[in-house]
Amino acid sequence: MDAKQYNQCVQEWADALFRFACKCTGQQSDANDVVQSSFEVLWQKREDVQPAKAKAFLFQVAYRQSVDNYRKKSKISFKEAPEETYSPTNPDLKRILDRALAQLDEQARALVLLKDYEGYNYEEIGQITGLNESQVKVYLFRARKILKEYLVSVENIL
Amino acid sequence: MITWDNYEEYMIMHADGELKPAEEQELMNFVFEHPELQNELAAYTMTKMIPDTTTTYSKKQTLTKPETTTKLIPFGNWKRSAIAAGVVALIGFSFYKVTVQPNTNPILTNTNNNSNPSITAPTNNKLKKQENNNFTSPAIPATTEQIESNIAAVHQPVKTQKNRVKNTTNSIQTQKERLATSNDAIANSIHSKEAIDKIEPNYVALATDEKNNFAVAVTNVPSVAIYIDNGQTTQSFLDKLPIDELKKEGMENVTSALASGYDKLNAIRHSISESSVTLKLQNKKLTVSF
Repeated sequence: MDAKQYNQCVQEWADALFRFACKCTGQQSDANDVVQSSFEVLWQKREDVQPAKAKAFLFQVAYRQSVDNYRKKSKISFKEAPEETYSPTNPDLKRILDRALAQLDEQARALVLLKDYEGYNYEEIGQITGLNESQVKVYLFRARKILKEYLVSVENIL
Repeated sequence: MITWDNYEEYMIMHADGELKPAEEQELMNFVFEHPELQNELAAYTMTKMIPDTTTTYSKKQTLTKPETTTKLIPFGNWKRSAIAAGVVALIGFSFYKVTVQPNTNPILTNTNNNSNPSITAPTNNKLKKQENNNFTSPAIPATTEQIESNIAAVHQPVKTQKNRVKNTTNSIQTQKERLATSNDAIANSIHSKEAIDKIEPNYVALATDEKNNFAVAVTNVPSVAIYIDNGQTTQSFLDKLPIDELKKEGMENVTSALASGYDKLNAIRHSISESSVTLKLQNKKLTVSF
């Protein structure tokens, strides 16, 4: 990968990587650091990374930094964050889903985001996260059940 | 098969988009048969996250790198190519030296001072014609002393070769006869320009004897070939060279040495052809087997 191809990766994947990092870390400043360090690693490894694999490589680095490092530092404070008070005037599904996502642990949240935001299949998610396909399937199964339970509970409140 | 125990798994895979078309149809049939599961299926479907495309990374410019346009020319295997070319050239040259067949016919090298210096090989008919006309000597020395000294110098390599081999080819004998009659031709024509014009130009003859594996060079290039007519002086090609007499004699000796070298080369060629030498070019070695 040369500089031109690297710059193309920046233009194509920086936004998606930033959104993924925002959801994983819960803080925009941390997401900025994740994106910057992920592309820095890609630049250093550009001789070994094929352009077609650049996106998966970026998300792999971002996943490790978002989940592993931030989990160790306990900087993620989704659960401690005050939930927005539900209001019938603000019933949009996106906000409900964001709150539901905050119920998940860091790894499950990352898996859901890789699945729903980027459209990776189980095998590709396994390659990015270092898990096998069965583990990915089990973690996503648990995450979906939690999300569904949250949505149903909110619906019951409604 | 979808049952009450595993229907949730199918619903989640449906939400993940991992079901195959047949499995999708089977799930739809199961939910159709159990309408109470429709809300649950809708809830799992709603868990699919929707990316917020309005959120963008505003510092892309800090990530980009300058694009330098450098053109790399691969030149990694030039040493191997050079070695391979050298080996091929060496083998080719060696085969050329061994396999080139020497012409067994007398090769006459025209050494006159004509404007066209091309090498010609006169035919036997031409030689016979020269013998009949007693114009076998191409050289016209100026004085009797020079003639005698030149003829002696010319005969010296021939006599040397005669002592080495008894049985020579007819071509060599022809050369000897031509040299023997050259004195008379020179004596008769030294004062006649017309006769000189008819004389065959200076030549050097190289003959081989395949049967006896022998080669001999015959030359009658004189050191001086002059006739004087109306104050004009004509010289042979050799005399026009800006070298002294010793060097001219040396050139004549070189001819004899060449004949000797040719003799050795011919012997080597016969030895190789009769000893079934084989050359094999393997991966990295040139094997010569006898």
